[in-house]
Amino acid sequence: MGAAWRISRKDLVLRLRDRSAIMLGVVVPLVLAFVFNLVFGGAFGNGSLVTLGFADADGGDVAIGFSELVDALDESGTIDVVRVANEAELESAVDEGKVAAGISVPSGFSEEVLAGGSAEITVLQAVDAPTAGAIARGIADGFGASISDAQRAVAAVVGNQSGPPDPASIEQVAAAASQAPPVVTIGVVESADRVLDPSTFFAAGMAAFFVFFLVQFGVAGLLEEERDGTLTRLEAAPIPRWAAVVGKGMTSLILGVAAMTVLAVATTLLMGASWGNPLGVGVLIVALSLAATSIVGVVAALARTPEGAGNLTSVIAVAMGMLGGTFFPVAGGNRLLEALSLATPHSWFLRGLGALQGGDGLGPALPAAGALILFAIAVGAVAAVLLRRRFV
Amino acid sequence: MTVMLAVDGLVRAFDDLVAVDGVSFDVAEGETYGLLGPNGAGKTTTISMVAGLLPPDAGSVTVAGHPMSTKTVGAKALVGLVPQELALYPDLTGEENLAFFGRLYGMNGSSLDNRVGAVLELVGLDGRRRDRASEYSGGMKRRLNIAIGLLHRPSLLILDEPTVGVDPQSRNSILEAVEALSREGMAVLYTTHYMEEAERLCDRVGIIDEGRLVAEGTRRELVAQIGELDRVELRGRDDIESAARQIERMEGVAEVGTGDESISVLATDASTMLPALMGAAAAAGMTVTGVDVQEPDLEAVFLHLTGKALRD
Repeated sequence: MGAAWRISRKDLVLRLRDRSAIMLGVVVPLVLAFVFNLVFGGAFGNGSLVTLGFADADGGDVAIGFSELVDALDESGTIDVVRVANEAELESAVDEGKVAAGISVPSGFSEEVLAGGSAEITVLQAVDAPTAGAIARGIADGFGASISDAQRAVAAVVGNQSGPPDPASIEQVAAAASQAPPVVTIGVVESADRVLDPSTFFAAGMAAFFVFFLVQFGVAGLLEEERDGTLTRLEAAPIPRWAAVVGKGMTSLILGVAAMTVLAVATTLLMGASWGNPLGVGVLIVALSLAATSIVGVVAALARTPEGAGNLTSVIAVAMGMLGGTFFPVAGGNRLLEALSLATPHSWFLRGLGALQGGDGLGPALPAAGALILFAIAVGAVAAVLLRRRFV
Repeated sequence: MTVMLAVDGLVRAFDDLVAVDGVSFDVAEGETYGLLGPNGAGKTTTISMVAGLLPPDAGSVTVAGHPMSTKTVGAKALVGLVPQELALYPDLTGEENLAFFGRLYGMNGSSLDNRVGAVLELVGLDGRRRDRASEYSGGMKRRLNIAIGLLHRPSLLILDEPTVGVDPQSRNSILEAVEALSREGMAVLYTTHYMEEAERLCDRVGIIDEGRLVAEGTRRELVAQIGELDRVELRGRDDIESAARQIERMEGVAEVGTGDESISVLATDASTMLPALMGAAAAAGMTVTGVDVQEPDLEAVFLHLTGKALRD
């Protein structure tokens, strides 16, 4: 392994010296991730369905309950809430486009509800935001329905008695109500594969896309050594014949892991990307680099020239990158595309990162990392056979 | 003398083309052996098998008694190869190129540093050691190419047409370096299609054509094989005719001709006979003003053996 490492170290020095690896592995993907996030990040939204206004002009007990419900939805990331003082301000906010829709709780609302009367919640929506309006109505309807259920329950307890309500019964209902689970609860269901936020998605997508170009500098470097005559010297040296191939593979792996690690750190610091558990991310990066190296190994064995290898790698990298969803998520619902995307390391890498968003520790990344490593072993075996025939 | 390289019955074919067909020769310690032949004669294929780059279809190669093959490590450590094409890393400096290959041959530390310096000095690149190879001239790259081959003090140095495309100054520098290495006792296998280089450097020459070694020996032995004679031209005045008659009677002289102011002599060993020839001419009354000796060269030998010129 000493000779392989010496060859790899020489390659790394050369690649760092001509800056091609830094450009292709770090600078270009970083810039593209930044630009894509800037241009297309809005299309992904910030995770909230809609921005709603909320005006509580009442401030009573029931209105506070509603306010807490809205706060819970806000905290869950389902909606963004902009609070205003009253319905007039809410109307202005909707008119000015600051919010797409809004819910107004009028003054006296709680008193009316507690008295068993009919209270009204107002929903406002912009003309061009029917979805936001529907969401606001849904929230208001849900709360209204829960109040109606409570009123009917109380009426059932109290109304079955003849004569004036027994104070003890009222206390019994009140006590039961206070201990009962909330009528409306906000449940946040974490998907096993959560969608990455835009900055993380583009950072990871670009890193996965460009790592295929970067690892070329290792294994495909065999073709350059062959063209430049230095492979002859390596073959004439008193080292095992496989040392050159293994050395080049090491170069690919080191370049891939190093560049992706730098990208992960850089996009975290500069773009606020959230890659997830560092250990899990590290395992996924190593697994993806192995998979990319194995593919480029096959290319190097089949290509006649470095230029040919570059062209073939570009075709494979772009096709797999698109299919694997490194630029945009693979269209949901298209089963063929989804199935095909599973054949790409890019897809498994992004899935692994998504899984890391939804769980703690290394564990969630392991299925995707396992798939990547199986991919690397299968393709790597083919590469090993072909490279042995050609170079060993 | 110790045989450093023994090549026995090498055969190598590429599909239907037999590139090397039963080539055998030895190179002794301190000997420079030239493989002389035109392009496509099989020199590089032979060298590739000798260096362990290419497996032969038949035959064997041993270096200092170690069998050579593509997978051999021991024999390869004894061989320094200077490929025909430049084989170096343009983006590494001269000393980085040397250090990299030196490490592959097991060298390291101060011994490697010292050897790198010594070799750079030998090939005249000491002053440019920290420049990238891409900044070197063609001749300097050639010299670095050679330096890499002899860095690890090989017992056998193989040079495959090392002066192709080199300017006269660098060419002379390369030839001087090879001569110096030979004097130090290194066995050298040198391929070329330049007859002058083979004559200048090589103790023995193997003439290769169409994959076969058609003749082998010292230059004189090869010339003797084809019966070519040395040509001496004596220029002068006075009694040229008497001088010619006198010379014609000398032993070793095959033919004498006269011109207005010169005598042309064909003899077996002109350089040895020259003092006697001049003495005879002077004794016969000729005033000799100039002498020109032309020995038959390997070009003539090659032409005689193969029916074609070296540069065909």
